Amino acid sequence: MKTKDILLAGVGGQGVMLASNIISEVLFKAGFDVKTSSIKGMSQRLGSVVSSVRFGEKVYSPVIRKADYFLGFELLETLRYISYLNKGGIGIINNYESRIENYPKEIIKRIKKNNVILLDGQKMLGNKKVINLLFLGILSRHLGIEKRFWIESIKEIIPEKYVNINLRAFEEGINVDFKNKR
Amino acid sequence: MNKKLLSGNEAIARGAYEAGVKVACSYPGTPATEINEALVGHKEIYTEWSANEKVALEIAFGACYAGKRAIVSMKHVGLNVAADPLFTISYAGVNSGLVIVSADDPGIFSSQNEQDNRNYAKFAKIPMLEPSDSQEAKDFTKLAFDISEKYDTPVLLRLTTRVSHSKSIVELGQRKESQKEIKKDIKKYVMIPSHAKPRHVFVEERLKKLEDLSNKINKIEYNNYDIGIITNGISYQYAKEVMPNASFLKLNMSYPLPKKLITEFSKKVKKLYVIEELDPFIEEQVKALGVNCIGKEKFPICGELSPSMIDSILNNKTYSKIEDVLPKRLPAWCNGCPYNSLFAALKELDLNVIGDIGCYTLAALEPYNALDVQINMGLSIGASFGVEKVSKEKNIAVIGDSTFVHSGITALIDIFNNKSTGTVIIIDNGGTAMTGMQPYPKVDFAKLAKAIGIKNIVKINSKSSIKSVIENEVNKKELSVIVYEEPCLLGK
Repeated sequence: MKTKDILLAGVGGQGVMLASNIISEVLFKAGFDVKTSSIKGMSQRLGSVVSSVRFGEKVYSPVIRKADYFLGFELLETLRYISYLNKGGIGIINNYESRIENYPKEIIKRIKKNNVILLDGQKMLGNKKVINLLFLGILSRHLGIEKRFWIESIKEIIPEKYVNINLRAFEEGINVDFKNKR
Repeated sequence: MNKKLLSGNEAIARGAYEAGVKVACSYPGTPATEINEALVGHKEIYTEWSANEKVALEIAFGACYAGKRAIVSMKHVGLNVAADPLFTISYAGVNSGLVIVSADDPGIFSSQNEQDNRNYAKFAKIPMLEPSDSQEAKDFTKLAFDISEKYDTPVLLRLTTRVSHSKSIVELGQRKESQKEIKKDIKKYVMIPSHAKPRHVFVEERLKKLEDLSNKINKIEYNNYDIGIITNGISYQYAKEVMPNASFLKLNMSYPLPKKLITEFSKKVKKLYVIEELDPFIEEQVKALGVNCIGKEKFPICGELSPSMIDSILNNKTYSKIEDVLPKRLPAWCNGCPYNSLFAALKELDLNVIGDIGCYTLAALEPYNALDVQINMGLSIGASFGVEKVSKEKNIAVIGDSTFVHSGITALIDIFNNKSTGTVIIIDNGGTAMTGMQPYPKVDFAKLAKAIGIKNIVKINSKSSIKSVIENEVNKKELSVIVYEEPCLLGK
């Protein structure tokens, strides 16, 4: 099996690292060789966060060259990294702006490709804190890993009192009807 | 089989645990912090966040002299601070194992420079191991303790940011306690000239024996003979990724180098590359053997390598590094950070602000532009006195609480005794905030300043009239210390 690459990008506080940790744990449990690499900005909050997960029979470099799956939690950070997405790859993008000075205009136009799914996570869930789990739900439809590994990993990694709300967001992601959401 | 997904740093901690480490010391610093964080909480191990890296190494050395394994971890620049004990511990050697972990930062993600600490292994004449993933990080930590005891030497375990912060699968093992007791040996541990001279001879002999070991534990992976690659650490993983069919000499132990293996390898392959991040550390030594190789003429000294870059260089592809022309998210203080009011006042006063290392260094960036100098831990106090001696312009030293304990106290004693008329602001937010609010050995700063003999000591907080207090102290003809007390929001 060829190594597959997942790239996640967003800003601090969006749960990018948590999502990356869950994905890597799921793939590990499913029996793949897994390597991750993450870069957080120096700031404690609202800095760029980018993380990658690679999996396959044997993974060498933790650093990716291209991505088969891309999870963009914020539009500017998506624009920054979307060029990594392979032609046939799948992008799941949150329609959300964490604005800074000189924030680029019309990002959506620039990132919209056939294989990019744009979602308004906050509207769908009414809770921006668990958008990361919504995205994992969607990703899980494409990765084809048994659902029990996802549930187990979520329960292991997320503090107990938040598990239910996160599981609900994950289920929501599994069940999104894209014909109406695109 | 018990396996777990661990970061390189967590794997080092796990290796230390399994190796029976009894003492673990560190001063927090990216990318090394998580090593000690992962050790805190083990009931079998005494852990601490030390005042600085030098003290951390000294405590670890004491434990190893007393017969128990000890590990000390730090970021690359921390080893500069600990260099003084390091060089002579190299002569004295160890009783139980002593491992020094240096996490370097190629690419300067979160540091003030990009120094290559492999040079310390050569400089201090000690062996160095370089893991390339988390399993190796754990295995090499245990190996480092064995080498340390067998060869009577401290061992340098050198990581880089990508190895420290990448996760991969690690097989866990059992802890084995370290058993030795204290063993007095004045000729070995008291480094007066008459003792140090024979120990230097020992160190040179030790290096020869370590080179034999290096020839045994480094491995050649023969494949296609057209291209041979000598490489280390994360560069191995990158190169293996893009050149799976090439032959490799992977340097697990990168000092001393396995000269025999290098010569043998170079004879078998047609074209020899040395792929390493930062300095031509391996390349220069390979060339000194009379072996021809391609290294830094093709690969950059500055910054990180990457699989894409190596692919483009080895396979003559155009390297399309994605230029990030988009607006950057500059690091900034948390909303409501109490540094805002302090630096707003400093900016209004238009002083030369000689700064130090911590979250407050961000005052140098937009929109504040209120910090003029930052070089190393503790520089602010001495440097501001240097300014005072030659310039009429008003200046002030600004230093954080943890940084002051790390390296500021001696400078304060110096400038007081040399009759400084300057002003030092110690920002007391209760912890080492930049790296995640680790505790540090706390002291009452006002009482300390008083004990030094300083008369003008003012405590303020964000509700004080900061500007007028600073102005008042700066205009005095004596040294002043202002303690700005506001707890970090993260610690609340």
